[in-house]
Amino acid sequence: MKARTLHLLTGIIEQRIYVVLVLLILFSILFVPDFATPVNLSNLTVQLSIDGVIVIGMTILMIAFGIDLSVGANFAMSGIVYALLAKNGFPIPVAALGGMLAGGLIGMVNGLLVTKLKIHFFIATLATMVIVQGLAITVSSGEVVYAGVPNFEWLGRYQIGLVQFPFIVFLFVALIGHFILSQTKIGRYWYAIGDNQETAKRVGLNANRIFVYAFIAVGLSAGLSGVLFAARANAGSPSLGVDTALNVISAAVIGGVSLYGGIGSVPGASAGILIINILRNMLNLIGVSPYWQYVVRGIILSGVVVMDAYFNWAKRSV
Amino acid sequence: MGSITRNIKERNLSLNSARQLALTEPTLVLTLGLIVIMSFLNPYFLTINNFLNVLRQASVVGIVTCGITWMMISGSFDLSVGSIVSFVGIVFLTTINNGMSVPGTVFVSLLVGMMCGAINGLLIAWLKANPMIITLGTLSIYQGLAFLTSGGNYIKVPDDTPFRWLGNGKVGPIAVPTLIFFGVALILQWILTKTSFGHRIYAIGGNDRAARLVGIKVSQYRLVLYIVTGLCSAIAAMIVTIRGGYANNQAGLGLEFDAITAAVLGGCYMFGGKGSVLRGLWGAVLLALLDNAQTILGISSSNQLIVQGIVLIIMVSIQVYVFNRSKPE
Repeated sequence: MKARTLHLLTGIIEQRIYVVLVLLILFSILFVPDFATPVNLSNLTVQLSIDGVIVIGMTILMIAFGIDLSVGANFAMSGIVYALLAKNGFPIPVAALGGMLAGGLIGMVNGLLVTKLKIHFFIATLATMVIVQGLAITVSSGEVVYAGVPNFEWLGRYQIGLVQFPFIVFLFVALIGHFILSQTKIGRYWYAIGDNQETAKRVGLNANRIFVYAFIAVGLSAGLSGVLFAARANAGSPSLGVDTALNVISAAVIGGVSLYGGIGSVPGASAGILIINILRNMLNLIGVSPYWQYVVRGIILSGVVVMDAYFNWAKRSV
Repeated sequence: MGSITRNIKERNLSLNSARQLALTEPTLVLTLGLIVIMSFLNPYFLTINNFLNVLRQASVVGIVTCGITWMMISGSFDLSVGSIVSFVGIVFLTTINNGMSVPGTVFVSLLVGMMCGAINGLLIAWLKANPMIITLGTLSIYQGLAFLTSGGNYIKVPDDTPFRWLGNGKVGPIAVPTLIFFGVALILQWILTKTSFGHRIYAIGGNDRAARLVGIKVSQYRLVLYIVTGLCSAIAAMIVTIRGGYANNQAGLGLEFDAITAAVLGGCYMFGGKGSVLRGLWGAVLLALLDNAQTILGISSSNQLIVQGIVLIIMVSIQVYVFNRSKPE
């Protein structure tokens, strides 16, 4: 009997993220007015999908033991590229693909800086963040770029009933991400180099190339997200993405992805982004000032980082 | 024949030593190169007036850099300095507007900065959390506090405040911000090189675990380091507020990146254990010189961002290259 209780308890602690998510949803439905309305939920899914797509890429990178601080700048840049391409007469699918590839390219540059020049990923992505911000302001002349072509906003606004297209994209990306991480060789390699790069190298993995792939993955996801948001907003803007990195990293860490590599999963990270967005939505509905939300967000991130340090104590003190 | 080979050898030697110099002292090469090229391009660049101007412009970033330099020598980081500057700037003006006396205002502003630093330090030193991510979190917290205290508005510096001297005053030809900047740098440099406290900072940055094993209380040192960085940010906040003429929640935006670039530009090591505050000072001045040169040449501020990012990448990769080459493997 006692053993069984203990077993149950460990189970709850291991799956704490989903327990928290379910409790949070229950709480919101019961106590927050207007939460469980179709319109609100539909909006919630859009907000969550925009950051959520990047979370999937960031999860991959964090599992391979890296962080990308430039995702916000990348997100803004890709939206601008999408808008500019569409404005200059490229068909929408080509423009969207172009925006996404621009994101992937930035990711690749990050990856090469880290693996070839051996710059620490924090500094490398901090530098590319500023460079891409500068580029985004330069190419957009510092202004909002309206494409002004029909169907530009389709990707962000299309709805099947109440299900929004960005949410479908998010689910699709999450499924692919989960599949790659859990079923394919490259997924296992990401875990391997994140867990112990030296060992991974010694058994013959090309750790550098695998790491660059992880950076490309996060770049592509930021690009895709940027395109979706630009479509939703019907324009690209250089001032976007200021706290994207913060949100995305928080979501991943809340979802159990370790800052020290090798640990994490897509379902966990998805639960993380759900928790963050439900909290934000809740605070909005209750009428908490948006200024407080900065504070709350920072406290959440600091809290989960401390939690991460605590739960990965054993791994880190080796 | 003999003379030709000797010539070639000598040329190779001088090429080698030039390469050596560029690798070991990229800061010096960059500084000299910039000054030489700019003095050809624009006669105004190499004047005393312009240089005094650059020193004044360097002071805000420079004071923050002094704190960041300590941080980097100890092998740690602080991304929240920009938000601390915004927040303290607002606190500073709010205190003045509430009629607090001059010493009182200074005390409150510095105290708030030190408290922000202490929060970072407590989270990082005692809870052993990742400094980059924690300060990314506190960056958001202080940003939020800045929003809350200002209500998102601009607060103007009152016209009759004695603090105006702090930003616009001059002692002889030298601006007061420059003097404060140099003063802070000299004090921090003195502590770093002449006290056992400073030597232990190097020890912690060189090898955290070894420092702990020989009995240095690393957590306490880290806490003090973060408090000092908060203090530096608070001093910078007062100057930037007075100079700008107003405070708002974006006053310190991007300052953390400037300070890190300046420290690296001056030659402080990203890996901890090496560097000095005077090098941080040099880096801050060089960064201001770089901005000044680009402004004179008419390069837009967004392109200056790009240049700054690229310069940071180049400097860090040179460091990494030299570091890896000198490893005893």
